[in-house]
Amino acid sequence: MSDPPNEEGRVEPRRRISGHNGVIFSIYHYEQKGILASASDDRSLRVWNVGDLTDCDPDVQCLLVLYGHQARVWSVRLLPDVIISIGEDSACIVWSYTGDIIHNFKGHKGRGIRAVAVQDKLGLVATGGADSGIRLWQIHKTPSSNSNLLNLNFDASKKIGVPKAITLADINCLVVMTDLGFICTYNFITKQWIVVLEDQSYKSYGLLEVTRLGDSILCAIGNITGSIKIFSLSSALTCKAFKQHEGKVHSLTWVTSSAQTSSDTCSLFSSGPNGVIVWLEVSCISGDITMVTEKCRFRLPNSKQRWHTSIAFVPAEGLIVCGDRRGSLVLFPMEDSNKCIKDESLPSTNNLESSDPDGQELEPIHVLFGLHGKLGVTSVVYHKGFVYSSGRDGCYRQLKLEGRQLVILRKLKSCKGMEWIECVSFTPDGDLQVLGFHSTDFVVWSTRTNEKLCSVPCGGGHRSWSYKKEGPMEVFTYIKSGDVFTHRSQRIETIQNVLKDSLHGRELTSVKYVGTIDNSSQERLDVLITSSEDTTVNIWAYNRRTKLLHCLSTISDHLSSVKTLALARTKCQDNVLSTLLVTAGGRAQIEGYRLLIQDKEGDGTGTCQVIHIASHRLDEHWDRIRNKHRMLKIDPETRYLSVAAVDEIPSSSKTPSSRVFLAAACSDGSVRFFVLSESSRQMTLLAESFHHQRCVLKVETFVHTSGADSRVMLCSAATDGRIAVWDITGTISLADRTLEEGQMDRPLQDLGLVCLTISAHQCGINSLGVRMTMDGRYLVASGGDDNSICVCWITLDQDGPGGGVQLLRSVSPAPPHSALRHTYALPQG
Amino acid sequence: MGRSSKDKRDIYYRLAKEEGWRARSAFKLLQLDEEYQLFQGVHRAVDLCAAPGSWSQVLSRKLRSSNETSEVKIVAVDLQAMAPLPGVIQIQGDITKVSTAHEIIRHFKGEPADLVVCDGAPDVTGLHDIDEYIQAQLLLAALNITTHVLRTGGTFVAKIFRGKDVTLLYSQLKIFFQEVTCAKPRSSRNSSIEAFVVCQGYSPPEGYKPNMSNPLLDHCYDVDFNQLEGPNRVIVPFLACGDLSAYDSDKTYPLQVRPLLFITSLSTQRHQYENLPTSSLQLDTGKEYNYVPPNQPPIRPPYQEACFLKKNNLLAKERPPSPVSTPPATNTSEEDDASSVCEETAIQQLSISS
Ligand SMILES: C[S@@+](CC[C@H](N)C(=O)[O-])C[C@H]1O[C@@H](n2cnc3c(N)ncnc32)[C@H](O)[C@@H]1O
Repeated sequence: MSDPPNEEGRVEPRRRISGHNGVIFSIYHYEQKGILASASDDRSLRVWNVGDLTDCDPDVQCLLVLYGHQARVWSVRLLPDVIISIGEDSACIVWSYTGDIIHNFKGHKGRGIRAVAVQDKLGLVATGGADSGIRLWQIHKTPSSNSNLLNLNFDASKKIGVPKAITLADINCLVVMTDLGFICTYNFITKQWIVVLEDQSYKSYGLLEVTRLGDSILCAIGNITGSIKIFSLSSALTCKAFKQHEGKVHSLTWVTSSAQTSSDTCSLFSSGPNGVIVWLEVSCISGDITMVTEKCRFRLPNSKQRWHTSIAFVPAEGLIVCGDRRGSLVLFPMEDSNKCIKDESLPSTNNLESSDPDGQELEPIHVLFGLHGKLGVTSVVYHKGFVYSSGRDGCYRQLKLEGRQLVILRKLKSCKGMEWIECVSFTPDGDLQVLGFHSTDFVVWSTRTNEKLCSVPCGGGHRSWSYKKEGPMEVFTYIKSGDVFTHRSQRIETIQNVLKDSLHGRELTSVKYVGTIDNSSQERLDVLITSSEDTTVNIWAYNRRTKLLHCLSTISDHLSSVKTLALARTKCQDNVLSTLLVTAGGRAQIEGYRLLIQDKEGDGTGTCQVIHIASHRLDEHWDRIRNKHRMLKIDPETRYLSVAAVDEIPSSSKTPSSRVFLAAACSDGSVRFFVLSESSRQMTLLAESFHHQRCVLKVETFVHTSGADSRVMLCSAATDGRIAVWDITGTISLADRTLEEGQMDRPLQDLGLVCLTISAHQCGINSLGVRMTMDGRYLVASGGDDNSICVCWITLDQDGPGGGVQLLRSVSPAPPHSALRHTYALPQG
Repeated sequence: MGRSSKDKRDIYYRLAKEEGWRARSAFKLLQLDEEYQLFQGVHRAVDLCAAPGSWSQVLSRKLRSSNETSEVKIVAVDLQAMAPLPGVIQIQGDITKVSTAHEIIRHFKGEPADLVVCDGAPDVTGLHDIDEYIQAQLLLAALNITTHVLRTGGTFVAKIFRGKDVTLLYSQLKIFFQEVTCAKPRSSRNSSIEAFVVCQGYSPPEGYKPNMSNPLLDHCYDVDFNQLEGPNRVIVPFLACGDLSAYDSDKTYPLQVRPLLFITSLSTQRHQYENLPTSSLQLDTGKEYNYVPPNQPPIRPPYQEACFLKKNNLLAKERPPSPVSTPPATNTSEEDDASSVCEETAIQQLSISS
């Protein structure tokens, strides 16, 4: 029933709706409600009251103007109770018809969400991202029904003071310590406060730590004079008290772990003056503390703020990992010293027993001093053979134990801008979660799905807070201006929300094939590595049977886009694929890793252990040497556009296999030469040359062997279409010599002799490949931005001019039509 | 770092600010002219998709310096508003509309133009196929409007994305121009698929009547022009322009380096410039780097209001739950002797639900 056309043959619009300040990308009509929604370039979405569309009433009201996206809004859907919009900011927002945001689903990486589908009955939204991931989300109609913030109005009972420390025993029981030395509990179900204990000597300074042991809840408190009390909440009468330290108790930590001999014992660690840590073992049977034993004493390395902040057992190795206030990780032996056993008939009441004053403290067996910076370590955990630590430096680290030493594998960050990490912990299903404060919110971050599982706007870093999750219920509680606030919510996790892993948030820059591994169930996994402008590198396993690509690990150490990857020393032994990976990109940053890939569990997905070996940043390098050699500060905005490793070690050279030489193509017009040493975990800039004077786009290396002689050659290509061929044999042997002599800090060498330059293209060379041909010559193929491919043959003769490197022939086949991005020189055959 | 980092990464961006161009694209037109002498004998020029206006600035300077005075006329068209430029007539309009063609002709008082340039680009979506397609459509629209306004023998220069269907475009351009080349100015980044078609000697097919919805231009995409063999195969030569001593748009130059002003380096100082190794010429360490703000911020961009709201923290947010108070605590300790020792103060047994 279309309208008749006018004289020009066009159908006149019946109504025009205007209001947006930019292009409209999509509209959605909800017939039953008579409303229309539009999504626009102006970053808003609008809802219009269009009524019955067959009506000719020109009056269209704008019902809602919704600003909440941080970039263009691509699409909008209307449901009976909610409005859903997706945008270039990678957010999927669920709005109420009152214009409030109910959910802001974030999780897609990079450049936006492109597609959306909704299932109203089940309350599901599926989104497709520009990152090629697909996610499924659950809509809850109103935010308030499943989460709330309670003010417990603590100060109403003035006699017991102001809360100083709080901790959740479980999701229904909060334990509070006040500045008047009271310990009380609050039950969220009965909504009752109960005073459990009071002790004047815990006034103004007191520590409180709570743990669950079987059915009992154990509390430990410590004070300024070195006294400690341990009691169970159910029978605080039978509290055990000791004078444990010569002065202030600085920290208290409960550790329940499989290290304990029986299920009714757990450990309490306390730090006193002078770095002394006392390890007590506490047994508790049906709410009664039956025994407290001093297991051992340790002494932390010297520092101003010398106390522990966190403890984890490594039972398999008989070790204890301790994080301290100085930011160090310290390793102690888990000495089962009978001599330390204390009197079992501890006084149950009245007198404070002082500890054995001449108990010998054990010294650390290994220290990573100041690993997490001056502000301290915040947590340590041990999980499946690895140690994880977090700190006030905004990082968490993965470490392993090797020969009773801690070896750092990786340094990691959680979501962008989350600088205040309070702790890391594992969920029962093995997801590593990072808890901390992100600007003014408390956040639980999942490293598995890369999303905030919980975010509570609490105002930011609190001295005393506690978080517990049991089933779907999660509780976060904190002290703010003398009051206790509690946020309780129900997280619904019935659906797996990542349906398809994302590849990368922005353009891919490089792909490398590492190798193939077989697992016990005869499945073949191809291992690939990708790098991207989104600043990350991903390691993938492609299962040939299931045809599924699975992300084994993500590297996010780069500050800027990762432009290039190189592999060296790849080998596969006992079905463990091992390779050295070099990543490089913007901000003149280059990183080296050892990767160990295997499918231990045979589940067809595999695992990848990433060990960070070393990194190099040009700006740091110049800062370091600037004082020594007065020179112009060099611009750190240099990008590395390509790296190539000298993988083949010529038989005549002295290079050990743990040492890899690397060439980098740099945007500041230079070719730089580095050495990566796996044994000393160092990356050093050895040489550079500004021969090209233009942005260098590509580098390649090859080794030419004739008889007993080997020559290491380097090809580099720049934006002016020229290819330079270098002989870097001398540079490498000089470097090998100085490295053997242990001189790491020597002036830069020159990169050496340019043997040949080839004018291959009119402008930039986007790809470069070198292959040896049957007759011992080399074929150099390049693809240019001028739409052409150039193929040259060169020979390497020992005695000819220019180091004997000669151009034999060069051809450019008829141009293809579009700009060339990649060419590869294929092996002959 | 912050605002200077773009200066470090892009020498042409920095040069444009220092020389007063509204966009770095100015150098692309200057370098194309260097190669093709685009402006010779040009009195009337059209700048399609002109905002923010750096090509119009170039046209204005170049045409006025070579022509004595009065007869120069430049018309600039863009969808978006553009800050006024002396000597440039502006039309805010869509180049895909016939009314825009009529308006241009009206400004030339019925006389055809000698040169049409088009630097048009759609807002990139990031989906390469779509971006290439839209760019091709924009180029066809520019060609179409050109057939309305260009004199026979005139020149047409337009931005092109060298995607996989580029041959189709070349074949369409060849119908209208004697000579078509693909040129990449050195100021256009190596990392971009952008290039420019320089179409010289306008000679429309006999009897061709310009029409804004012209089927002639609507070649079907089914024919695979890339696969055409022999004489049917369209080969368009490629030329990198701007000489080798020009700045490298992909290179990062230190900030202490003071770039030579481009206009002077192009003419008078050219010979000295070429003889010196580029780096030593550019190093002027005595000079402190000064940040220069961009010349022409966008006028009323669509995101203006959204940015205002964001800046003032007025964007809708997930609402934090507001605190609900529990009734004041009721059954805390009634004991008054706060001095009693520890074992006596365990007041109440408490069963905790577990
Ligand atoms: C890269 S900018 C041009 C820069 C300009 N040459 C200069 O030097 O300042 C591309 C312009 O194309 C314009 N544009 C895109 N589509 C258009 C259309 N259909 N009609 C007119 N202008 C259009 C955009 O508004 C944008 O300002």
